[in-house]
Amino acid sequence: MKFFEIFTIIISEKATLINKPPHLIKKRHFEMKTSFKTLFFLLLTVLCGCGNNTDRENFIIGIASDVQTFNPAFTVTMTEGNISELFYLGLVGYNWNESTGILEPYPLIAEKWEWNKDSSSVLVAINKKAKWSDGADITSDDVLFSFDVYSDPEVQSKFYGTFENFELLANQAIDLKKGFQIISAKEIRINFKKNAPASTFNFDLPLLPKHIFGKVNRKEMVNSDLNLKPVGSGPYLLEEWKKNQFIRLKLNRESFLAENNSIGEIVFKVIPDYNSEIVQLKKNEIDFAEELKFEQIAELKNNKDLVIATIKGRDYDYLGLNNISPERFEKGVIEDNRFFADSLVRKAIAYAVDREMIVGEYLGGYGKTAVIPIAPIFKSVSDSSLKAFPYSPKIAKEILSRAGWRDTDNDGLLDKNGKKFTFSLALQGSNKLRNEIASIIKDNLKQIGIEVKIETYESSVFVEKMFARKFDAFLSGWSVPIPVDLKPYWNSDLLNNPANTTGYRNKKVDILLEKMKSKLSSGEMKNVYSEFQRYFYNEMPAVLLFWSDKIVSYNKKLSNPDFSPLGTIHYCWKWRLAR
Amino acid sequence: MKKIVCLFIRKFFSYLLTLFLLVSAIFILLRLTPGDPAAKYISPELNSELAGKVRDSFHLNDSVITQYAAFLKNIITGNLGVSYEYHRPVINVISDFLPFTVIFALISFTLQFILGINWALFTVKMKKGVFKKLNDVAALAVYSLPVFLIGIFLIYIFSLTFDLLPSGDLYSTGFDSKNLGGKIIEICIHSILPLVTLSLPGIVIFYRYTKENIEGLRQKNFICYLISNGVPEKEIFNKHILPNILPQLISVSTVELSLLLSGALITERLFNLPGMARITVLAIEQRDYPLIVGTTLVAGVFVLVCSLAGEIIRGLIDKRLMREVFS
Repeated sequence: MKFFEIFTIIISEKATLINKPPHLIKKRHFEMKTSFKTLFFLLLTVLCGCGNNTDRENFIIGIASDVQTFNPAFTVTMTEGNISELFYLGLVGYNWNESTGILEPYPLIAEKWEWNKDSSSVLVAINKKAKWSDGADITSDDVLFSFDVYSDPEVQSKFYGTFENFELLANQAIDLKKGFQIISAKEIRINFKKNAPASTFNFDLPLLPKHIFGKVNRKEMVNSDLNLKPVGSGPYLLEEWKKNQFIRLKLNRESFLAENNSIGEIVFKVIPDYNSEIVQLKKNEIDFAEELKFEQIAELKNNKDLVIATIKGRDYDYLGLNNISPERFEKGVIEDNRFFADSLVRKAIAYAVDREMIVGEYLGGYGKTAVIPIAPIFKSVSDSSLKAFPYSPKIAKEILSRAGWRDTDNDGLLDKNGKKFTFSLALQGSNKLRNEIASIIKDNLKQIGIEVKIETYESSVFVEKMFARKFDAFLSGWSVPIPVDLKPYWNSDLLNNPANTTGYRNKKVDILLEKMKSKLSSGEMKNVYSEFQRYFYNEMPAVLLFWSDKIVSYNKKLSNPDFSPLGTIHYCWKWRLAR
Repeated sequence: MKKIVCLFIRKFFSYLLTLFLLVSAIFILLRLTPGDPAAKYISPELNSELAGKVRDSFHLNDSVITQYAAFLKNIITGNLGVSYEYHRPVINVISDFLPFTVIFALISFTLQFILGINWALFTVKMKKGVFKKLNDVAALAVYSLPVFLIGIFLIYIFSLTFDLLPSGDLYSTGFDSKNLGGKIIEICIHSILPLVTLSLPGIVIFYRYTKENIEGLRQKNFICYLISNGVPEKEIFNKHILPNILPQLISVSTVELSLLLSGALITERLFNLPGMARITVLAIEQRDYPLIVGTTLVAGVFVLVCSLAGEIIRGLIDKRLMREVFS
């Protein structure tokens, strides 16, 4: 109302000013200026009043970067994978059993499956209610097509090279004739290699619709526009996508997974800056954020609308001590590292680094000290009796002296055969936590007479050099895959396993790693795993630092969150909003 | 007019050469920089043979000269390649982000220009005293503050403490359900803080340039002569001072505008805005070579276009400059 009053005053004043004496005009001008100012501030207040976001019906999840593809064959980031999973379902889904630490399969697109006697083939019946979002039926053809696409070298899907339990052609593609047998539109038999340790993990890949992707040139599939317009089988549909702003998903009421009170709309909002994300969380502009740092927890706990949850992690940080010489490896020769080839030295360093302090001070207690590369959450295989080495510079010094490293010239630095114990520790400059850890390690090792020089690198340079094993020592981290797979990280075949970043070689461990991939009873498998862990504990190919918990914060309107190590939004169609 | 066309053509070719050199230098430097664009797509489980196949698909195993030749051929036909990160042609990716940056930059530039100059004129007319000093101190304070600090400060005050304005984004998620008026209001509200953050330092730059130039000119003999001859102050200002400071202002403007058009990195990141700066940073982090070249080319074109426009305008205003160019 006031807005219009002022506006009319200004207009009428202007009209009446004509033919008025100058002193009167000056006075009126002053009054008009004041009116304009009031008008401006009024407008600003009105505008500002529109900035609130309190009565939303949807659920907004903050993500750090936008998605570049929804096609599960090409998703790279965690976010891409999470969102793609909501569109493209597999035959099998998994529930995480916290008490046993294993994944329990349940039928998703499949209605049921039946293994033959020697588990070399499985008969899968497809759920009759499962449909693509455009209404077409999901059939055996789609199953066959998906495996064909994923294993086709032309496509270069991220699953390429992971089908070792199938009969393969020379180019590593699945031999479709031997591998699949279509029985009817809703029934398909999948055959595996003889004696391969086949399991549901071998046929749980997300299905692609043949009637959509069938026409696409395989080589060009990665750049196809269809990857951005998902026709999927999942509980959500892509409703709107404002590039680099947000992705809005709508519940697919036709989906067999959708329930009446599933969340009707889920929005993924792109917020690249971490601090902006925290501000938006506090202001209720988003309802969910993950990968939070512990420094913000106290502050977020004070907000009455927010709930903090932690998920025990499967991500570990480690101090990589190169078992082989970087200089010689560059020339194609595998030779022992001058410092770290000796497992005694690696163990001594493990004793010398104060991991308890790192977890307490720099993770705020949201983590656990680590010693073996199998997270404690994998209860069925992880050996809980192996405890992380306690912090003890004294023991470290003793072990080093046994290994021949003593301070013979009293300069405070250990030496052996005239060589001083000084090395460079490489890390990514952008990782604040690892920078702090590096300085702690530097201080810790100085106490036992080892000099560390810290070298920081830009991320992609660091990663390239780490895989090429060009560092003597470095700080890095891995996430343990589900199901647990250790071979790429600790196998002696250094050329084919770039992920074995520390260049660890042990023939006996190789045999154990191979056994993990074979058909064994659960008791035998447990023995194999515990033997591997004992080897690791004794030889310490890398000094593991800690398991970090995943910290998430969400608005309390989310009534039944169920987060699993598979991913926080893995079951989000089961989420409910409190009314 | 003919002379201007001549100047334009001559400049155009020299700028084209500059662009070519710029893009070539970027192309070669990128290849020499460590970092592997394919690394992201190679999972640790993949063996070296398969990893090699992935790398082949990026054509990174060819020699730099072969890659450069292919690149030149493409660029002449207007093809900047396909972004590794977005799986789409670089031109399409850039066209998603460019409009925002251009509009945002132009608004911010207009604000800087108008407010900065008016502030200067206002201060110049002031009598010497505390207020005039205060103006200078305020200008210096804003000038020396880094942009990110201004931004964080504004978010803290207006968004977190008083909850008056949103802390980021161009619009909220319910944008599409609103009518046109609602949409305009929404974008306006969301633009206030970023625009203030982006424009404040520029306003101060224009303020200082204008003010110092005017004050410098006022000391000049010819102005003193005019004043002593009783020429009205308004006439001195409009006919003698203003034309003399314009060329400098235009030079500053071209630099400011081209900087804004290349993307305001910190502001865009802080307020979560979808502009050129975001893709440039992402492209560099992920070693998305075609996209880096694309964004550099766009930034280069803007800098050169602004500078060409600046030179032409200055030439039109100041005939002496024109003569210099052709001498």
